Amino acid sequence: MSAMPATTPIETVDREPSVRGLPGLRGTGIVGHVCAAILALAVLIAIVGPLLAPYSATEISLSNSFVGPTGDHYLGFTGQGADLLSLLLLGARSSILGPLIVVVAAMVLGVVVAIISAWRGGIVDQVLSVIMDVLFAFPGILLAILAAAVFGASLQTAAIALAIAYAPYIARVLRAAAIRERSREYIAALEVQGFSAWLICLRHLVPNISGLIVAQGTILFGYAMVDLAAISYIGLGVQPPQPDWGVMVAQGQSGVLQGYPAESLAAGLCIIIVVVAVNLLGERLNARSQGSAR
Amino acid sequence: MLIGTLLVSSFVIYSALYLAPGNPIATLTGGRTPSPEAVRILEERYHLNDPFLVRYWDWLTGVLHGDFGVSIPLRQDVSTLIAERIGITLGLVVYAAIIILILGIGAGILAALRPGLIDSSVIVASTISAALPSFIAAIVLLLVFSVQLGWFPAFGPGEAGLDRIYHLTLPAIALALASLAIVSRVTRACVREELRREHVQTATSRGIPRHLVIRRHVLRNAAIPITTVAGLTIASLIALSAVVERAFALNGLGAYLIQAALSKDFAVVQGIALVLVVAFVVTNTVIDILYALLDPRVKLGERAS
Amino acid sequence: MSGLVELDGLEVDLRVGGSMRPVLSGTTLQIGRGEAVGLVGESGSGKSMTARSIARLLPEGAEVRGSIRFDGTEVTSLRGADLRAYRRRIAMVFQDPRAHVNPVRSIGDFLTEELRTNEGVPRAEAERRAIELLDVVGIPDGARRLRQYPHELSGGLLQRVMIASALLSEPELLLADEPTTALDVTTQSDVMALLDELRRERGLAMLFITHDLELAGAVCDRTAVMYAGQIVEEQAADALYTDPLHPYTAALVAARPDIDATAARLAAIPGRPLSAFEAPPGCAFADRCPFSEDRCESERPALMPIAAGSSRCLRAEELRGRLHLTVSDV
Ligand SMILES: Nc1ncnc2c1ncn2[C@@H]1O[C@H](COP(=O)(O)OP(=O)(O)O)[C@@H](O)[C@H]1O
Ligand SMILES: [Mg+2]
Repeated sequence: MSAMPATTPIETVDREPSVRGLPGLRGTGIVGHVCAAILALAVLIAIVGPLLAPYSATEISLSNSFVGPTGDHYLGFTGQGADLLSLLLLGARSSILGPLIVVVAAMVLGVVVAIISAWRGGIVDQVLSVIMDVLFAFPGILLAILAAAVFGASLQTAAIALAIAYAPYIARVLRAAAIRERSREYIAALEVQGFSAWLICLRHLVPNISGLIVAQGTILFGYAMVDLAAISYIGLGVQPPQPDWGVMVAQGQSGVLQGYPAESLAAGLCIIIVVVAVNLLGERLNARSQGSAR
Repeated sequence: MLIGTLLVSSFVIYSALYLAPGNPIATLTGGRTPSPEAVRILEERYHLNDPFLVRYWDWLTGVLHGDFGVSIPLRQDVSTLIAERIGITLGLVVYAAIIILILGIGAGILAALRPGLIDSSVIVASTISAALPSFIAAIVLLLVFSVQLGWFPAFGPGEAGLDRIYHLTLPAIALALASLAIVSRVTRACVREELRREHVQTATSRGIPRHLVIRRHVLRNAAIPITTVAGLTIASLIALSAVVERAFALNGLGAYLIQAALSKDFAVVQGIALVLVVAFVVTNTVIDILYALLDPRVKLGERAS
Repeated sequence: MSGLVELDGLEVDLRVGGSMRPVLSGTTLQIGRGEAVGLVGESGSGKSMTARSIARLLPEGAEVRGSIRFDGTEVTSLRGADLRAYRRRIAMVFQDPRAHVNPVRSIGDFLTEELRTNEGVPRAEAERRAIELLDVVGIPDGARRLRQYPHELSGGLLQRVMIASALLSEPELLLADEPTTALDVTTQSDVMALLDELRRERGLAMLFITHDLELAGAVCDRTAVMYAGQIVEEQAADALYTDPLHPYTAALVAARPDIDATAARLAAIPGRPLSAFEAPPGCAFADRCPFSEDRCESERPALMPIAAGSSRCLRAEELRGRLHLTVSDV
């Protein structure tokens, strides 16, 4: 029988080969790093896309409708005769920065509500949770449609509506974490020393649940991206001729039916790549934040 | 709780659209400047001058009697408009729910009980379908099954009956795909976890046949979390159906809601939004009730989230 | 003595991660009809795995070598209907009743499932018998209990229900794996007394697992001591104190808390208990043993008969009679 040294770890869990990698991504493995790289590239394109795009969105000529790739037009033309590659590069801005704004707004709302709930407890907590319960009754897309009816269809309206619809979900998860954190000794110690509640929250509580906040934000980005693109797809988000991937899927649909699916598929693929990358990264960050909470 | 949520939601819906900028008279007269006399008649007919709370109360009591008011641009009863379209939306959501329940839960159970090839195939399939947002799934399905293979129609709801089911097949799949992935994964995880439970060992140690152990102890217990997740997922389809209806040119409630939102037909928006919110809230309540029925440890009104 | 259960050189490997890890390495043990055998040892020594091997309840992917015979039949190769028929002849009482009773099924379902499923007893009859047995295990008002759910019962009550369910199928062998460890101290002795009494009345054979030497002595005819996946000593339960045959047993006896001492159990044994997979090539206990010699590190001792029992120690004969005196001075 083989004798093993007594120091053999009890559990030998299969792990992805660990990468030393960036501090923010530690423990997310190779997949996490690849996904993060894809996202960084996507954000870069969102920012500098207009500089890279060889043609403008309005440079169209119907005679080029559905013409395939040619020398200067690597991906060919859309049904309206615009350069497809340029549209994708230009559309990245609203398609990626839009959800980013939704996430930031929803996280700020959610974090504030969660911390106030956790900190004050009692009546304040109850009132906030009733408000959140009512918001739960409105799915994001429905709230966005209502908002479009009231304020008119635009990216801003849709983004605000989604942020409000997502906030309760974030608040619920973070409230539980904040309550757990609040009951720790060190918070009581800080309170006894006379530090103000806001200072304790900002300097200690929020940083200590930041792993969870980042993980939840990442996962939320995937939802925001899909929902916002869907809203643009149904015509209540980004308004053409402003380029956007969701709008492109919709505008390419007539091409799909005529057997020219390039525009819809290319835009759809861009959305899917970013969403898959963000979801895989989010799962890993979430697993990590739960691992460290124990 | 249920009634309270519904009341507040209806108030939110009504007041949001009431406060919206825009002038119904202008819509009614198509932008022409009407005579003061005409304005007075219109205001009277549509109760435009009543105080807000009175109008909300009138609307709410009307709704409870099945009267959703009148669409000003169309000059038609909103109830009639809703009644004509609710069947398609209901059919679509129920069809998608059936796909999710049968395929999603079935695949999840199979994957959990049969490690190896079946398990890996389910994982791969669910990873792919999880990444497909409904409207992109719609495009891909249209391209493959309508345009290239010609098996299914690309547009419209068809005639009631079998033809309707045929027409709703692609839309229902598009609507179900992403949720299918969630439900099958959760099912697989729950069944796996339940299989490892000690009480399952107890049953096995008593010489109970395996299929009965699986049914009475593994699946029975896993049904509790699965019901919750599948139910919540299906509830979320109610709003998402709007997107799919739009993609397949189905004239259901959701597609009509979008159209009404674009044309600022507030009575229709209020009516349909209320119907969808009620459906969503009621579905969630049913899930809570099922949860309490399935788990003797839980009293009605608490859900372990 | 007619052996009801005979374990012979039982070796069990479990899959941990990608590799196989031994948890039992050559366990040999007999239980006669109507006999109660205690199995003691520190946690991780393989007591539960022994019981689970007998009940054929090892985790998935376990590899088993050696033999387990029950009433003359080889158990390790049973499958399907034969396996289920065999399992009906044994019953198991687990350490943690809360985890081992399905939380979403009623007590009635739990008690009557086996009778109704395997023996086709009609529900009313099965319930009548269940109520009767609940009364026997000290739970009056059985009809009401049958409608209750596990979470409505205390741990002690639930363990009584578990015992009732074990007896209900009229088994020939009871495997009791630390049946009182999870209960609070006041109910422990009640449940133990009940189990002992019912077993004797019915002439049931029992494998009683505990880490409490004294308890094993009080309840069992013979006691086997387990260390690192092997039986290191086996003899009459009461002789274990006065005449231990293996240094490990002697150490266990010495480490037993006195009536008024509150020192932690086993504190007197230096070092940490090994699991089977960590065992060195020689005697597994060698590095903690005050009597170990050079050859103990290299030579693996066999379980040899000595006096009225057996011991797995190279120096057993030599140390005979000196063990319990010396160890307590360590
Ligand atoms: N499911 C399992 N997989 C792998 N190893 C296990 C498993 N269960 C127990 N073990 C190991 O088997 C050994 C014996 O365990 P067990 O029989 O439960 O000990 P005891 O009941 O004497 O405390 C221990 O080293 C333990 O770590
Ligand atoms: Mg044990």
